[in-house]
Amino acid sequence: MTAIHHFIPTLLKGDGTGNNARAMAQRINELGIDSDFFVQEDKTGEGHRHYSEYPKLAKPGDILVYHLATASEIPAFLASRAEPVVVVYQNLTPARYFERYDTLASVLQRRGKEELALLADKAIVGIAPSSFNCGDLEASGFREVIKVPIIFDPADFMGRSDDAADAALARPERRGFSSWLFVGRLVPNKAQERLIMALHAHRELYGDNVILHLVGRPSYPSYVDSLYELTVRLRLQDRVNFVMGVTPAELASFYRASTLFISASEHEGFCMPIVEALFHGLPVVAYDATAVPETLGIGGVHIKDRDPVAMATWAEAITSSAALRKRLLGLAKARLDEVSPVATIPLLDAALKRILEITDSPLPNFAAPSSLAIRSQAVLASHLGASLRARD
Amino acid sequence: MDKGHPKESLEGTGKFEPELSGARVQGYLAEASASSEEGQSDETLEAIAYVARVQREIEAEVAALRAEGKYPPSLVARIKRYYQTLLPPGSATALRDFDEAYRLLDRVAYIDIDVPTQSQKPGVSQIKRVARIFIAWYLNYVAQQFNNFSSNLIRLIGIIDARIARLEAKFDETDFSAVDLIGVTASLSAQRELAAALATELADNKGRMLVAECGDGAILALLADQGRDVYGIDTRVEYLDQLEMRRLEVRNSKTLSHLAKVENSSLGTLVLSGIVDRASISDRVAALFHAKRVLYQGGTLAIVSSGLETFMAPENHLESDLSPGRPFTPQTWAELARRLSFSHVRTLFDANSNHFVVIANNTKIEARLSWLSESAIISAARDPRLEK
Repeated sequence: MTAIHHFIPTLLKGDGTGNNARAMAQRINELGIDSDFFVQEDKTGEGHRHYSEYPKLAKPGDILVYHLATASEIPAFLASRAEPVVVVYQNLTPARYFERYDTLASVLQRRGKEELALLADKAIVGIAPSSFNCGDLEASGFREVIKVPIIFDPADFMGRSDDAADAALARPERRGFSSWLFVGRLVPNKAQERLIMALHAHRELYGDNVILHLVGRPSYPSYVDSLYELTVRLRLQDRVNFVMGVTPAELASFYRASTLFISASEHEGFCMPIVEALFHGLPVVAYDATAVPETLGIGGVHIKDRDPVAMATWAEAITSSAALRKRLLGLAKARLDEVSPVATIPLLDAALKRILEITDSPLPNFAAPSSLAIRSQAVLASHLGASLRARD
Repeated sequence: MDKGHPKESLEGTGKFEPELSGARVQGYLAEASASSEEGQSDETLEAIAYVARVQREIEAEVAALRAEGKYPPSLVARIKRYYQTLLPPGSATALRDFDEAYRLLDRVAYIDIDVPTQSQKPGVSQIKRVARIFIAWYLNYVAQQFNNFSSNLIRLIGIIDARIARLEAKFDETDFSAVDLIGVTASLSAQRELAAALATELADNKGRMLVAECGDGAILALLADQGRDVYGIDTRVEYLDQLEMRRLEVRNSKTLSHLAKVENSSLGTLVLSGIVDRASISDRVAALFHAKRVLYQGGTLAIVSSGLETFMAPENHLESDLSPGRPFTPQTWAELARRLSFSHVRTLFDANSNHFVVIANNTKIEARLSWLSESAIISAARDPRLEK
């Protein structure tokens, strides 16, 4: 009896890697194949087993899927196992981004790359959410690489917004201001400083009428300090809102209250916040780097360079032109159709079929409906339409 | 927007962004844009066309704002320079990280033979204790060897740390490369005759042209006036502001870091100046290698330089005193170009022979490198200063 088990260093609720792994496990279960999690650290409170317990539970026909997004002990463990291994590569940020801020973090990123290479010989297939990540797998020596975009549940984006946050964002003194939003950890590769510079250019060129919300957990105090000092130096301390850690409800408030989503990030393996912004009907302006162009697709504005004047001018155009916003909203909807589970579950099925064929495992009935695809179809049809109408 | 010109990020940060430099991301972009329009509804196609139209309008508006000097490159450069000063100089937490890792390693390096014997199953705890007694002789022996090894390893790491700390203390952190020298020949404004002769030489050239260290834009303006597809780079923002207001295409970038980002065989003409006078020999050779790579077959390299007399003149004291190198003679440049398989090498001089331009055509055959240390060239090309 075939089983496909997932190994993941840290399983969290609400993070991209964890959500994608859960969505994969759910689909595998729906196909009638057992699928459990083995972790190094379980932060879900669901009582998943430690990966070292797997040998006691191993059965013939097992296939082991490793979700790689950071360095861990698990690759060495998997490399020693006889079972076929599949690697789902969520991306590793190049170590050079951290060297200045945290040597240990940069060492761990390098180790992650080494672990990827270690598993390349062992893995029968590598799966990655973008062609950019597929390139990393190919460069590491994976024999076969399949692209399966991140599978998300749109229902996760539908939570109620937070009343207190809604009220704060609608404060009278903020009336007349438009809001730029970026969601992502405060880390150097996300280049939040470029957004602050763009905001400064906007104020100089188009007036003092924008607030920039930078929503994300800080990782390196010295990076956050540099962002603070830059805002003070540019006299933008009242115009840049650092929001370090939000609940899902508060996050929903920010998406709903913002005018546009703007990204200057230099390195992304997928960039889920872009998809979330599209879901909330936010026009997206994003710097075309690494996997961002693939994720954004036709759904928003791609900028080829981060000239603050160009970024500010785009933002001003979006804010002031209802016709442009309307077109961008239409494109956001079209893009969401392309990346929703309705489109991505068949890609996952194809990857699973290939894995089962390679391992001579019996094939399940892939015609079995995907509850996630059905649910997302309903959500996109109802919520998105309403959301877009509200912004239109 | 893209005219099939060098696929290099337009921004003038001087920051090296490898993901953007290669064909890799460009390929993905092409793939994304090619697939984006397939199978889309008429409404979506109309929206895509509308956004593309707005993009052109925005590019024109940005160019107009630049030309009006409303947000000049010097302001952008000042903000970026200020931001650089806010970043930690080296590895902000390196010492703390090392101490923490060292402490963790020290803690786990010792193997404890006191194996836990507790068990929730009845009787198993006693069995484990008995087993532990029986294999204690073996565990002791293995653990002793491992503990010997690890304690010596820890000691060795401690010694290495102390030695590195001594070296770090001696290291002079002054970054001479940050001294912003003005290239002697960064412009040929004073040598209009020579600039005009160069423009005439390049009259029949096709393709995109780059003037590296364009200075006050004497050559750049001449070529642009001829309707050539030309852009310039420089790091002196006072020049960039002026040139942008004259609607010349310029970027704030250093020569080597910019060339590193330019795609292979994407330029028709490369004019090198400034760096050819004052850079180190390895940097000058690296610039030549880049020229070989970025110029397409039959493309033209022009090296604008000055004689030693000009370089040593009192008004150029900064360059002559602080530069790691001194200018090559035209004969040396010509010989280097030939050895890198450039052909039709010729030299133009000004009336006083103080300034000269070496012109050569790129021929894509394998260069003869045996007389140069390849590793030196490679290390020059990977100079970490390029990534600043």
